[in-house]
Amino acid sequence: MKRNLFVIVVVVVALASIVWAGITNYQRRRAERAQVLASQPVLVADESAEGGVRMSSALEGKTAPNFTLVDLDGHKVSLTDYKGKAVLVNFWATWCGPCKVEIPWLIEFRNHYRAEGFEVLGISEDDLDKDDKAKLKDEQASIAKFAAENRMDYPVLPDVEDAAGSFGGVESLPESFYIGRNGVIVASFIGLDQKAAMENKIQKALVSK
Amino acid sequence: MRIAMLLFFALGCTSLISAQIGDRDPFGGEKHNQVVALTAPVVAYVPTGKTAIAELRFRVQKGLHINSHTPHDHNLIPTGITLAPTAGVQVLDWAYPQGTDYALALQPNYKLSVYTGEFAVRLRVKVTAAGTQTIPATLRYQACDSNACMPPRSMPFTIEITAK
Repeated sequence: MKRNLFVIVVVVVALASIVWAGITNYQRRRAERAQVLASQPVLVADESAEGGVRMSSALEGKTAPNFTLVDLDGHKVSLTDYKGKAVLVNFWATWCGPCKVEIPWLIEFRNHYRAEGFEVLGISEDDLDKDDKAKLKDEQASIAKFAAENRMDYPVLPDVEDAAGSFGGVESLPESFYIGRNGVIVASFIGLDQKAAMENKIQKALVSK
Repeated sequence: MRIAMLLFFALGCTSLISAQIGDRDPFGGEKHNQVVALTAPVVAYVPTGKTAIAELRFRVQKGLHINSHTPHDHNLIPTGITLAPTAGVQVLDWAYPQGTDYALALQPNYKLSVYTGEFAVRLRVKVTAAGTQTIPATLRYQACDSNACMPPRSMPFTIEITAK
């Protein structure tokens, strides 16, 4: 009887140890992951060949943060200028291959839906030396050259004022925010989206009141 | 018999606990806190006054790629290494590997030239003074996966060259 009790106690202790080890291990891995992500943002590897959903922004359903930037022609552009319109705010960079793939689609969508009140704003996340006017001018000229080469006829806005910061940081590109006529972000997408999925999001922005 | 079974059970539990606690990668694979990492410290031994080749081996995190040294698209940022000027060490030339063609899933016609997995860069050096030199170096790269890109990054590392 005593021996049986001893065996039961040993088994219970062993099982409790396994559960404890599992919980501790899980907590440690969570803490390590949080630490790594905090110290060095790492793009999550996507091994699928599809252009599947990576993630969307936590800003969906909220009013889009306003920004005022200067376009390549020197005109001030604010998001609030487009009140009552559906706007696709597309964060991109000249060094971003997937961004380049999207550009012809953005041009096409803009031309197709412009009459319905749709606009695209392309915010460039290329490095800009705000404190060095000569360098800044060269960097803006490079963006302008790229925009001309790729026939970007929508407003292209070098992000001198860190608009990306107010949109959650934008740590990987491209990143798109679809803003309804009421100024609320109705959809978003991080990474290269499928063309049909982009169009669906534009239509969603257009029908929002 | 029962004691033997008990011992066997205890041993099994110990192994399980050990496996649970073991040092596992938070991302589920090898330890990769960086997108690109040196696979080994760079240490080279060269005869003083003569040329030698040092090989720098890097590994790109699984599922990601970085542009090769000669991207097909001139707008993309090439992978490159710079060394701080160091007295007595002369870098004669660099040999970067050729990139592999890579097409984005949603645009098969847009070909990139990239490094994935492990790649090695060779540099030919001449060291004129005997002794060990530690040369600060920087790898600049820009990484993407099949759908999105991260901003360009610079990874500092050192090369230790001993001339005898």
